Amino acid sequence: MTRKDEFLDILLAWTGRAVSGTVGRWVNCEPSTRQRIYFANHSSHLDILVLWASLPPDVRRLTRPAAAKDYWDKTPFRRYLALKVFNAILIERREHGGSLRSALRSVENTVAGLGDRHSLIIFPEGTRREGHEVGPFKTGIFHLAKRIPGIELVPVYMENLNRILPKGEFFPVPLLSSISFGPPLTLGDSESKHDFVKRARDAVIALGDG
Amino acid sequence: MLTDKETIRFLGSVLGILALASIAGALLARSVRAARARELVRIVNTKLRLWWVMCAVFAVAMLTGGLGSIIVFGLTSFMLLREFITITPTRRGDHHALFWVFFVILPMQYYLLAIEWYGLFIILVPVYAFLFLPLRMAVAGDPDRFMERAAKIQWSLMLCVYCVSHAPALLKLDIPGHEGAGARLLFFLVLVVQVNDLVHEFVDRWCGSKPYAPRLTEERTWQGLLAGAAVSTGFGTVLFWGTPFSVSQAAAMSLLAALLGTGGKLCYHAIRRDRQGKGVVVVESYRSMMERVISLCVAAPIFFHMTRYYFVAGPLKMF
Repeated sequence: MTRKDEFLDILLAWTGRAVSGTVGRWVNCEPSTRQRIYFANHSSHLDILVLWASLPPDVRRLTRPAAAKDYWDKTPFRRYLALKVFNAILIERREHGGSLRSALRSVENTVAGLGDRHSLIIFPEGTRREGHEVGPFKTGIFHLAKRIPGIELVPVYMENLNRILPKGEFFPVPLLSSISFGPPLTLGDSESKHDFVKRARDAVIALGDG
Repeated sequence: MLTDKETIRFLGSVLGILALASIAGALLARSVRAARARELVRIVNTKLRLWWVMCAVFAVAMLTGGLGSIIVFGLTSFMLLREFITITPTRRGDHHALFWVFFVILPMQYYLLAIEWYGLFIILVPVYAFLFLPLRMAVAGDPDRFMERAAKIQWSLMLCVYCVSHAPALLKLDIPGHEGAGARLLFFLVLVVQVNDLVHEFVDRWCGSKPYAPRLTEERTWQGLLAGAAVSTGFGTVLFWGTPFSVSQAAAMSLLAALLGTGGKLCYHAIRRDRQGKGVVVVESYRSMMERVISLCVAAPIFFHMTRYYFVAGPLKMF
């Protein structure tokens, strides 16, 4: 990270917290630099920024968000933000022209991108939702958990960001929001894909309920 | 603005009282042992710390002329409105209206105060904004619970922006024979309301037994209300020499401000009870700005207009 990138890192983290007025809650979970996957509900463009900004600086610098290639690779500015500042891993979404094979390749690319020390931020719903409902999860989260044995998966629930900047709006309204980090899950030895994905989704919903 | 002798004397007295109270508070915090008494001392000390901060902010605001106060209260409005709208269930269709509220109407209200355009300052929110916002929401095209949403946004705007802006508006009051009294009036209002809040809460905890609105909250009791009103009225009466008021006028204005403040707090409890347990995590984990300033919000505009009516304008002619 160069000096300029570092400056932008601090500026962005600060902006993210100011715009969203976020109150962070760690529920039976401590911030840690160990390798983790943070998975969250997704309702606003601000999600990625706010989740990333809510992590302590040392954790933040080791954490790479997975971002949709079709969106973040579109303009030079987005590409700069994604690659230099967020240090994102760009992945292809199937419904945006990727194939099943490329989806599986994305999992491999992501695992390679994490190495043995980086953590990951993913939004398993795959796209931003309107309203409060947490949508169905895609199965990438299971494949990732399977590929990196023993990794901790931390559920994250973000509230109110869809009111600050709803899908399709350009100007944010400066309301307050909150972000909750829940107790980490690990993939059980014989747990099926369906069971694990359901358990992960329920963990996010439970955080939203209180 | 701090240049005239009377304001300095007034501020000096207030700071003196505050210093004495803080010393007493610190001594009590050391000597008191019983758990209940410690809790009471803690309430007082927390409030006293808040007052030091407020005094510092006010002093800086006044040293920079009226502009500093306008910025301070403008920011207060912003944070208050932010909290208010957050706990109000608005819908997607309100997004643009909310954008106008935060980024156009709020700054404009304080801008009008800065340039002293009284005529528009006084009607911007209740006339123009109140008509414009429902129109903007209608254009957005979501009919679901339309009246309810419109009313919520309007009331938030009224309380958080319009009412709050009347506190710094006191600085602009030009009372014949009392030049520069605005700053002291602002201090007077804030002090009386705060003293009322403190005594009310203190007596509620200490010996309150009869809640006057048990469905809203068990915390607010008749004992607290009476004690708060009595002490803050006494306090305001003693400070009469710093204001344009006579002794009896100072007493009446203090009582009015205290009761309005109590009413404001009651509204806060109603809002809180209404929103409780409706899954708004934000509110639970946030140190409420509203709780601290809502009594001032409600008292400020009435205090301003009463003062203006009796000392500046008199009955306005229609044409």
